[in-house]
Amino acid sequence: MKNLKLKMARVEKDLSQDELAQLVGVSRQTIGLIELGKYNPSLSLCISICKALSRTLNDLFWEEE
Amino acid sequence: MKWFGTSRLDDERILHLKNKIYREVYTLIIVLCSLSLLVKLLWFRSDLEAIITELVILGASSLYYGFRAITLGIYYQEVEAHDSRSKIPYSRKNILSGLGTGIAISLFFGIRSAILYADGQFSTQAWYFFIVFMVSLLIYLPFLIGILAVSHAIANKASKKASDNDLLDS
Repeated sequence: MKNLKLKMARVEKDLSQDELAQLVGVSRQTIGLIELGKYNPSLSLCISICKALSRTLNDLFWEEE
Repeated sequence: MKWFGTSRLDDERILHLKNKIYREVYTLIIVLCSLSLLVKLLWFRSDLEAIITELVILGASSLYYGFRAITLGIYYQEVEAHDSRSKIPYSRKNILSGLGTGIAISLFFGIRSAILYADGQFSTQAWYFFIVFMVSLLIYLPFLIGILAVSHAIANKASKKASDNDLLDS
């Protein structure tokens, strides 16, 4: 399932996938794959992304039914 | 690991994929070594000099894996996880695998003797096969079962200790 919350939060911060990837310390493709829902990041990577986007885990990674 | 002060991107996804490739490469090497060993033993020279490289690669990699699995505690954790979901305990499966390996090795040596040393007549081949198979069975079966049972008990105990140490709050 696509992670639209992450994509929206990144766009709101006016960051490209490449810029976010550099902030977090991963490759651009990894951010792209997380947004597409094709890669499940570890908890530590989720936290790094949340910190970079000033959001909580709940905001970005919790799926509401 | 950083060598010569170079900073590399530590991307967990790339790391996972690389680990997956390493696992496939390891499997490939083991399969190739086993095939080489089998071909040499069946059709070419079978003295130790001819097969030592394959034996070293297979033995050293297995020993290293075993050592790391024990010291990291995952051997015990795997046994515990296996026993909690399987009706047959790991230790019994271990003994059964020793039994299976012993029979397979005996069959291999029996067939090999029948092919290499018999004079081509079926009765001689059958006799050579039977004799070598039975003797190999008597030698290898108790040896393999004993070795596997004892090494499992020792490895499990050492691995449990390592695993318990990991959980200590220090």
